[in-house]
Amino acid sequence: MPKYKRYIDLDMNFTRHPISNDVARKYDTAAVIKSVRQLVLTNFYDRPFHPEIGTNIRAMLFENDSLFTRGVIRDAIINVVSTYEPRVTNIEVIVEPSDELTYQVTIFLQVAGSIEPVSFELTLERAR
Amino acid sequence: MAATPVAELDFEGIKTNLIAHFSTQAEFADYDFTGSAMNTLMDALAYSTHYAGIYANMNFNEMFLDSAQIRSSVVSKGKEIGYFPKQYTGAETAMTVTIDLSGEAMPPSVVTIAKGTKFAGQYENGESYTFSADATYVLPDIGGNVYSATINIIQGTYTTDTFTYNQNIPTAKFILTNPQIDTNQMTVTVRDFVGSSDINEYTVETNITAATADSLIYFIQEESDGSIRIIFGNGTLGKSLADGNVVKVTYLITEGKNGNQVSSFSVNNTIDGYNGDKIQ
Repeated sequence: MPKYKRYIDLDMNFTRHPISNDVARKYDTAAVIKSVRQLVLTNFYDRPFHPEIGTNIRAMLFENDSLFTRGVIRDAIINVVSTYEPRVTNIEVIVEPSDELTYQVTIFLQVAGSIEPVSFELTLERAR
Repeated sequence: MAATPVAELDFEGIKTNLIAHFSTQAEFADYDFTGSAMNTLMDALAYSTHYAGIYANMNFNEMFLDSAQIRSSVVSKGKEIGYFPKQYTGAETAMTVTIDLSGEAMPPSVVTIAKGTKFAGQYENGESYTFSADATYVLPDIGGNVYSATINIIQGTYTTDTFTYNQNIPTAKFILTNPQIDTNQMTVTVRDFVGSSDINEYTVETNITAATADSLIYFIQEESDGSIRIIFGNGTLGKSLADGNVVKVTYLITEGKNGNQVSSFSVNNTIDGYNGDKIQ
């Protein structure tokens, strides 16, 4: 019987495990969703020696809302996730404006090794 | 855990080694995925290691004369072996100056060209550089109240810096205020106090084995920013300064090799009070 390989990642919020008092960890689907969220929120040139990793979403938030802008955000997310997150398949993204400065992004995806599709929401908001 | 290879210095190599090292434990597993928190931590670790490695490499390179890249490091190491780097050198030429005072009612017995008297040297394209007489010259009457001599001129302008030594500030440095100095044209004099007529001229010393406690000598060093520093003796190797001594340094500020190939010269102002129309 093949050994089941788990995805185990650090929780970047560095929350404390209530029992072990160690830093909390993320497992499987939660770890992958965290990774996708991290990729989407990474801007170009954020990563040392890898300026190509990331999206240009921060700049898009300063554009006027239009179908074109939403399309660019959607494509950017799909592009970065499918390039740098091999654990994700069947990704789909819906971008909807919730007010003048905010987009509500819903990401649907399937994690490799799981048959259940999952979705999560991301709020993209201009800070200024 | 596997031993971490330490030979890599570039970012990717360090990160690969770190991931290989941490992958052997089962606590975490997502190092290989770009978006994972562990990968971000590996980025931070690798960047920090890479930065420290480059810094250490540069640091050790700059410590040795053979491998130093920065001029100030080379100069600093050169000081230990008594080497003073070559500085700007003004372009020099000799020319004959003739002053015709045959029409003067009361011609002088000689005409004096003071040190620092300025001449304009011009290229054929009209570009101009200032030249200065490198010493005081006396032009004798060669007959018919015509005065002539061959003088030496050097590209640049003489200027003077004056310092007063204060023994309460023993670490004070005598640093010349201008860049592009021709140190060969430097003269250093020291007077006992402001207004004193007792003036001693000091000479540059390059060999301390000949120096005594009373030698009127000074040394030159280049500072880390390229400026020139004058250092006097300590009372054992060269005479030391006393409180209130006034140090006067006269030196040439030059354009260096830019002054070469100048084709014609003219007098900037006057020579001994005589205008340029009487001077050839």
